[in-house]
Amino acid sequence: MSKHLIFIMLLSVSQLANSAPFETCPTKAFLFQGNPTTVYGVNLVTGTDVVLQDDVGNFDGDLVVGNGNVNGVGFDDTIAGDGTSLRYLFGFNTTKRKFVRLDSDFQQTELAVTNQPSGNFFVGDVYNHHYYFYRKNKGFYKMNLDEAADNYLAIETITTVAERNLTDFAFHPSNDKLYGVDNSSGILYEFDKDTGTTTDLGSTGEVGTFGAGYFDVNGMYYVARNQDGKIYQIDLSNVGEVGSAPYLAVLFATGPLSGQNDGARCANALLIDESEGPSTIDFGDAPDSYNTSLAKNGPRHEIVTDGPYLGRLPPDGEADARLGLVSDDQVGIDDENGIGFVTGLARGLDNVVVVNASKSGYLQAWFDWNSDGDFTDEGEQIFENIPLNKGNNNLLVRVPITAEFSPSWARFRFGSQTDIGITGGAADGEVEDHAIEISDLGVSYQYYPTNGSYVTLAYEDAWPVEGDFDMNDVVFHYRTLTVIKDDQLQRVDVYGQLLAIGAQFHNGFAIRIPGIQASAVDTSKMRYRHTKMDDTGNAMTNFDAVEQANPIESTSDELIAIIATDVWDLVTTSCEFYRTDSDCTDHIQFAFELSLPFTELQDAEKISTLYDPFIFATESFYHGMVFDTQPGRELEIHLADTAPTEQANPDFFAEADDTSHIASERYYKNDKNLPWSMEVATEWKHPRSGIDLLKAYPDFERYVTTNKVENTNWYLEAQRVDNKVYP
Amino acid sequence: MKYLAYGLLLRTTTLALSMLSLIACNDANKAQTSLPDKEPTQTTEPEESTVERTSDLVAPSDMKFISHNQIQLSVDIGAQGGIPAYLSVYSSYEELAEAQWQVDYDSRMLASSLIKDKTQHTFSVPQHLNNVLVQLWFYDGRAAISREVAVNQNSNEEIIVTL
Repeated sequence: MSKHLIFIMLLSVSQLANSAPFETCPTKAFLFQGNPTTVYGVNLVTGTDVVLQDDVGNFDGDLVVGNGNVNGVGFDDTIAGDGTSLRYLFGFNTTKRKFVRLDSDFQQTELAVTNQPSGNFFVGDVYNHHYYFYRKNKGFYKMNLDEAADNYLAIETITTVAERNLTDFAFHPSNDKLYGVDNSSGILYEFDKDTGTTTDLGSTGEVGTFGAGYFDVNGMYYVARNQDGKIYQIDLSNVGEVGSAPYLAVLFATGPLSGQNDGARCANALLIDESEGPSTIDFGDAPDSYNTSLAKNGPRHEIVTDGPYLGRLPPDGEADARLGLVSDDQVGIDDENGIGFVTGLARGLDNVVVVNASKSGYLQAWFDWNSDGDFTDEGEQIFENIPLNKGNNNLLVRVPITAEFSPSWARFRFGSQTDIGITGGAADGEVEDHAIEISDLGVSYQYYPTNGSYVTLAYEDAWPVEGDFDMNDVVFHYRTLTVIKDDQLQRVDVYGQLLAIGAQFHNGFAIRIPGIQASAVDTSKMRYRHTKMDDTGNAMTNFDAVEQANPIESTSDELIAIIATDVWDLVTTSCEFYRTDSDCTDHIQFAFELSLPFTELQDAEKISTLYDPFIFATESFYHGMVFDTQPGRELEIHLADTAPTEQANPDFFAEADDTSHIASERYYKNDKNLPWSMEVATEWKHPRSGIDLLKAYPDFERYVTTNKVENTNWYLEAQRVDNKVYP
Repeated sequence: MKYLAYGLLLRTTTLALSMLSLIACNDANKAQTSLPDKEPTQTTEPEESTVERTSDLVAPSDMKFISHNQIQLSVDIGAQGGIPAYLSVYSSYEELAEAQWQVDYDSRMLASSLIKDKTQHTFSVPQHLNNVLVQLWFYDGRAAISREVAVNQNSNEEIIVTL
């Protein structure tokens, strides 16, 4: 045996050993380019790519020099009946004119096909364990990939009528049709896989050599144009249904360019699948009317090591946009910090916006001046390809005299690329969406604790019976914004999240605005939004579609907003309590935002920093032995020495352990002056179920006994006992 | 039920700001700042705690169990030569170099456009905070003026500085 043959045999064994199928249905699209073939993994979301393999190997005994160009590739997402993965890529080596299979290391193996038609093939895909391929003016064919079938690897001609000028096509994940864009006309064609009959679905609006086509599991079709690398998205999620046309190509991202492209993707994969690892894509935060989510081709940026970003910290990755109420800042890194509206946004003036850049790059920005929920009106793009230097960049924004005096949004996109639009993917950089407010001069905004953080409200709900002081029966994160004009109250805003329920009783949560009557609210401009959140912090409510109920209590003259009549209705848990037992962790599930503008300026004298957040008993639920009947709304628990509302029953006071005394304005304290609720000025970690506050925060003792002279920071991280608090 | 007066009383501290280029305080100013001293803080040696549970504590009768104080900020920008201007107060910031501040814009506690030379602003500050950054920006492109201000959380005194 010659040395040459020994080498070939060893190589063959080695190839077999590595010829493992793909274990999963991967999110990345595979792009095959050039001769010899280089395989790229393309993130369709942002257009970024990485080389997965630059040597696809050779065939046993092949005498043609080089590995050749592999084209017409499709992904076979087949699992055998016994669970064995049969996931391979299949394609055609145009140099060697051989059909090939590629394993998870992108090593090619020649297929022993029969009935192979002559010529080269550049267009192919896989469906139901069959490889389909096509060439204009030659034909449309298929080949069975099932090793157990009698016609395994036998090529069948479906039709010899092949008139479309294609360079790739792909199977839809939800039907058995193929789709491809004619390069010359830009028309989208639907192919019947059994007959080869094509249906004209209309122009996509784009022409060019679309060398790679991919589907995602939602039925979005992506085509990459060889000439400029642009990746377009065509919404075929409801293809064929009334109203789903036209099927226009929308710029989605910019990927690698090539003169010789072919693409394949597992069509059953999500575009972003965090089970493969944390997302490395940054999204915006504005409500989805601004086209923020991935489903709406929202703005997104690949997070690149040492790449450009806004602010002090690089962005963290997300699976999708947070959509307004629960911003990206509340989940993961507090990274939305690159923009400072240091002069506010006063109408008719040149306002200063400080933009902090990690390195040089280009800025685009849009402001929704008319508060109509989009950035597309004339004059709403304020910055276009503005070069930024590393550090702070002071930019001027002239607010139009016609801008609406109301809350709105602005979008900033920064990166190394120019001409980035309101939507679409970018290869690096960051997007920051900011809630803005266009105002007149003379308006003051008082934030507590700040515009980007919360305090914590902690309640014991056994009142008037003393509780166990674990301070977690009802726990909310809470933030207020008081808007003052001419020393009078113009508006109040409250933001909150339900943090924990450690109570068996059922309680509601409400906020009274002290000294203001309910009739003073301008209900036409009032805003109340709330959402449930999934375990990644994403809002599960589409605010654009949901007009949420008026929270103002109609039976009260005082201004009282009912956030929940029973906080247990806001969460789902398999545990006895919600987020109070460290062995049973749930994610934060409920957040709200309340804005109460007034028809006329109000006397601000009685307003307080927190307003008056309180809990109350839920109607028709037992609330302790001290009550003969269910007390319902008449039982309120406020912060210490805060008077109850007009709905409270005065007969409940000074019962059991409560020592309230209305005449002396003493409320909700026991005989040792201890309260049933407290405000902590940080995003505090509350004690676990049954853990006394002092065990979790020992410094609280001296804080109380010295009447707030010592240990004023008793609630900070450095002072707590970590194993006594909910993590 | 009749309306019950809202009883939440907040400690009020008045704090005044001298902007950078309005520098020196004259004697008259000093005189105005010399309001009666506050009660000297009682210094108590920590004792071995005998308290096991929160329910064993005895709190002062006026304790509210809230952890913020109200601050009154007096600003006079008359010497700066021009309004309008814009005032912000931040709780999180870093001095990168002398008089160069990097602000965490999510830590804003107060924001107000100024259309008069002398204004007063009331806002609340978490009780663990010792300092805040006061920043003044102008609409005509002048450089911002920043001043770190100490917050005396334990003082009930009203401190007034006239510039």
